[in-house]
Amino acid sequence: MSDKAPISFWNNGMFAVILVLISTVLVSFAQVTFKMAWSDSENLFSFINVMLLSGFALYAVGAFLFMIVLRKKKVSYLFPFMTLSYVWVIFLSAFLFGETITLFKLLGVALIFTGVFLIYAGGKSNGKGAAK
Amino acid sequence: MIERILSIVLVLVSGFYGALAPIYLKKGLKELERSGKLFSVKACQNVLIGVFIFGSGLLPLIIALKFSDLSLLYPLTGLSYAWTAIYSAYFLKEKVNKYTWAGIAFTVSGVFLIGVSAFGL
Repeated sequence: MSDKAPISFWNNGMFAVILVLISTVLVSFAQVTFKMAWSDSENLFSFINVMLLSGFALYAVGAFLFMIVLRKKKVSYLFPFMTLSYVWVIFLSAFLFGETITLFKLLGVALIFTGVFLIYAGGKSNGKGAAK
Repeated sequence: MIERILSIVLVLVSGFYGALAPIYLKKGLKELERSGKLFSVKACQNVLIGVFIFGSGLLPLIIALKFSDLSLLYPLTGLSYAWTAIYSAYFLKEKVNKYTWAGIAFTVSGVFLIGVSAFGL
């Protein structure tokens, strides 16, 4: 596609970011369901359970949303956004499995937010027209 | 302890390999865009390869989850984000600007810190 395409619903930067955010939330839920699937199972056969299948379903929908955005954006711009799923996993694990949120985890969360913001801010001019 | 190390190795392999998935996806999607068609066999092949790598790259991670905490393993996959950036510059010839490299350094360090936190920090 050409770089001359008018600003539309599809190449609006904010819309892409929102879709990617939803994708990261779905992927983090998928990770949590994988963990639940293991804890619920005694052996490999009982591992193939509802939790595992819902995990794959969540992952698939997350990946699909990611691909919609990937059509218009660079991989190097878009993929680091997926690290946000680590942030959601920390909070989900604390909530669901009682894992503690340590200072290091919070520092990590801060670094991820900073990194994603840098990429977003630096990509406003550079991330577009990435379909080339 | 051996189980822990093994599970860490599994996650690192999963990242190194799985980082190729978005490269193939983008390759396929780019070809589809360029063809101007809704469907193209060549583009479809690359998308399918990407999906396959995505799925199969998850298997070592799922196996590793049996041996260790989600909080220890999942963050270690963060290195795959550095691999993806390197692959996209090398294979897709993407121009990666300095903000993106800096951002990737930040996100990967963030993920690393989270990984280290599993050792009681």
